[in-house]
Amino acid sequence: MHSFRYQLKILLRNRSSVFWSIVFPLILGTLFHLALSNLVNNDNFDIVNIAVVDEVTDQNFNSFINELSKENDSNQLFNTQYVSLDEAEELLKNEKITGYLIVSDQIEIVVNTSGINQTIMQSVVNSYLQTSSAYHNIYQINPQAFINGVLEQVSLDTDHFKDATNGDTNFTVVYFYTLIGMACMYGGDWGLRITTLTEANLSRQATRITVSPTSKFKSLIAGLFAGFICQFVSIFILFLYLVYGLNVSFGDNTNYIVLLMFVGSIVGISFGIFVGTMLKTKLATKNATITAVSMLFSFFAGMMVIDMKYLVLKYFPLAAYINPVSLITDALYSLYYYNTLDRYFTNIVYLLLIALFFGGSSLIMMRRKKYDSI
Amino acid sequence: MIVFNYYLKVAKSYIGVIIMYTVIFLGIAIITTTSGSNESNTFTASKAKIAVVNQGEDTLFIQTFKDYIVDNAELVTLDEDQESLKDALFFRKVDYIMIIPKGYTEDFLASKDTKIEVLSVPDSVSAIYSKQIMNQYLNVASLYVAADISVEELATKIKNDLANQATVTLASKEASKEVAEVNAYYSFANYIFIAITLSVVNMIMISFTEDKVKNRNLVSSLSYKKINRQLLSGNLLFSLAIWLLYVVISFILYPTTMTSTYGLLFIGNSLTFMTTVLAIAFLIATITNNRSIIGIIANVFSLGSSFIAGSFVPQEMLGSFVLNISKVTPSYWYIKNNGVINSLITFDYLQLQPYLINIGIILMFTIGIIVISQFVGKLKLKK
Repeated sequence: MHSFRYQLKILLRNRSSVFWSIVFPLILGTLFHLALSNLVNNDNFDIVNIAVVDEVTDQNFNSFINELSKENDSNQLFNTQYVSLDEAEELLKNEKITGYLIVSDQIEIVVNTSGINQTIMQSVVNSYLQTSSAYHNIYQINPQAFINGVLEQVSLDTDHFKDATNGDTNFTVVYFYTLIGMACMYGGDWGLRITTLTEANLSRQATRITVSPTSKFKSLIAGLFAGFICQFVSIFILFLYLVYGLNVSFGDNTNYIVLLMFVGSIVGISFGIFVGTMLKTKLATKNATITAVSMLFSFFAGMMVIDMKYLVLKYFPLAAYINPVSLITDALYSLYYYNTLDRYFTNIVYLLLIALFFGGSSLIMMRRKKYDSI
Repeated sequence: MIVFNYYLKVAKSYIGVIIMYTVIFLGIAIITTTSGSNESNTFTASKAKIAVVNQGEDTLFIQTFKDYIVDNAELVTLDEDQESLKDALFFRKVDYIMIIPKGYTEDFLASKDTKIEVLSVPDSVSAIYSKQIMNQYLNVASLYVAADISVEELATKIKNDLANQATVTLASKEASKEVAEVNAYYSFANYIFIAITLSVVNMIMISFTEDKVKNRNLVSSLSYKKINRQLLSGNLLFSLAIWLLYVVISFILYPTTMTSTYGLLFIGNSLTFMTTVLAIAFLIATITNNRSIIGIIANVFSLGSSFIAGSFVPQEMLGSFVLNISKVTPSYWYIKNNGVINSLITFDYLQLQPYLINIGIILMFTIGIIVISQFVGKLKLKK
C-alpha cells in the first residue's frame, strides 16, 4: 500500500505528461468530430455548377434541370447556365463549372475528372433518361394516364426501403472507436514508466526501491495498480467526452463498454511493460516504439482510412485478431451494431490472451534478475 | 561543422528507430494508396453485392426485379437465417440485403405504401449506391403501375428504360486516373511527412536542447547563430532524405504521371511543404524538450491536420466550417494545391497561377514559423 502510494505519486508528478495524455485524445476527438460531422449529412453537398449546351431544345429536359436549379430551394442541386459549346469548353477549362451537358437526341456529359460532383451529374441525367423513357412507353400503351393525371401523383424520389440495421447506422462512429483503441494502447506509456520504476538498472528510483526490503513482486504489483488507475481514468474521461461532449453513439450497453475499457487498459499497460523489458535500448527508443507500433495498429484498425478495417478482415483475418486496437474497435462496433454479444466476447477473449502474452513474457524476463553492480 | 557532425552521430545512435519509423509510415502510405481503399470517394464501376431474401411468393414482378439486379449489380445468394445474414454483412460478402415482405407484389401493384426492409453495411458507398439504383427501379415501376399497365408489359418495358445511360466524356485525355491516384498519394504525404519529421527530428534535437548540454554549448566559442545553423542543416539533410524517399516511391508506383509535368508540379509542391514541416519541427524543439510532450504534439498535429485539411477524407467532402478552420494550417494549402494540380489541363501561366499562389502561401508559413521560433529562442535565451 505504501509503495502503491509512492508509485502513483511518481507517475502523477510528471504533470505535463499527465495533462497531455488526457488532453491529447480529447483534442483528436474534437478534430475528428469537426472533420466528420459533415460526412454524416450527405445532403450538405455543395451546389454543383454546370452548363447546358442545347443543340436541340428539349423542353422537358430543360424544365427538369431548371427544377433542380431553383435558387434558394432546399432541393437545389445545380447552378445552371445555358451557353454555347465554345463558352462551355472555356468555362470547363477555367474550372468555373464541374461539367457541361450537350443535349442533342441524346445527352452527353463532359467533365474534366471523375469525382463526387461529376457522379451526381451522371446519376441525375441517368435517372432523367430512364424516367422519360418510361413516360414514352406509357404514352404509347396507355395515353389515358397522361390525361387523368395519375402519373403526377407518383413521387419519383420515394424511398422504397426501410433500414432494419440496428438503430442508426452512422459509420463515422468507427473513427471514434479506433480513437478509444488507440488511447488504450497509449497506456503503454504508463506501462513503460512502471518498468522504468521497478527495474534497478533503468532509473535511480528503481535502484532505491530494489535495495529496500520490499519484494520486487510487490512493488511491481503496486506499480501496475497505479499505472492502471491513471490509464483507466484517462480513458474514462475520453469516453465521457465522446458521449456527452461530441454525442458519439455507443449503443446502450454501457456496462460492457466499461468492461472493455478495463480490459483495453490492461492490454495497453502490459504492452508498455513488454516493450520496456524486451527492448534493451534507450528510453527514447522505447517511447518511439510504443508510439509507432500503436499508430500502426490504429492504421490497420481503420483510423486513417476506414475501409482498411474491412480489407484486413477480407485478406488477412489473422492480422485483425492480433491487433488490439482492431479488437477494441471491433468490440465497440459489435456492441453498437449487433444484437448478440458473441462477437463482443470473442474480442474480449482475444484481448485477454494478448494481455496474457505481453504480461507473461515480461514476467519471465523480469523474474530473478539480479544486479550486482550498476 | 562540429555541431553538424555531432548531429549525425546522434542520428546514428537512433538509426534503429529512424528506420522503423520510416518503414512503418511509408508502408502505411503505400498500402493506403495502392489498396484502392480511396476509391470509396467516387462511385466506381465495381458492382455492388446485393442479396434478396424473399419472404413472399416468387412473382413475375420480383423475378423482373431480380433480373434488373443481375444486370446492374452482383446478386449474391445467402442462407436466410438472421445470423448468417449479419455475418455476411460483417465480412462484406454482401453490401445490401433486401428482405421482401409477404405480399409485397400485391401491395406494390395496388400502389400501397409498402417498404422493403434492408440490412446494409453501414459505412459503405456501395450500399448507398445500391439503394439509389434499387429505388430508381421501383420508382419507374410505380409509374407503370399508376398508369394501369400489366405486370407482363411492365417487365419487358422497364428493362429497356433502365438500360438508358448518359455517355460521359472526359474533356482532357491527360487527366487520367493515375493523376488522381498520385494526388491521393501526395495528399496522404501530409500525415507521413509530419509524423516522421516531427518525431525523428525532435528525438535528435532533444540531445542538443537538454538544459545541461545547451548551457555547455552556449559557453563554447561557437556563436549561438552558428550552432543553430548547423543544427538546421542537419535537420534539412534528414528531412530531404525522407522527402526524396517518398518521391522515389511515387516514381516506382506511378511512373507515367511522375515523369510528366504533373509529376514535376507534385514534387515542387511537396518539397515546399517539407520546408514548412521542418520549420515546425524546429519550433517545437525550441519550445519544449520533454520527450512525451513532443510525442503527443507530433501525434495531434499529424493526425489532426490530416483530418481537418483533407489528407484522409477529400476536401470536397468536408464542410466549409471545417475548411475555414483548417486554413490556418499549411496542410490545407498543400493539399488544396495537390487538387489544383489534379485538375490542370494545360500548363500555361494563367492555369498555373493558383498553383504558384498556393506555393507562395506555404512558403509564407515557413518564413512565419521560422521567425516565431527565432523569437521564442531569443526569449528563452534571455532567461
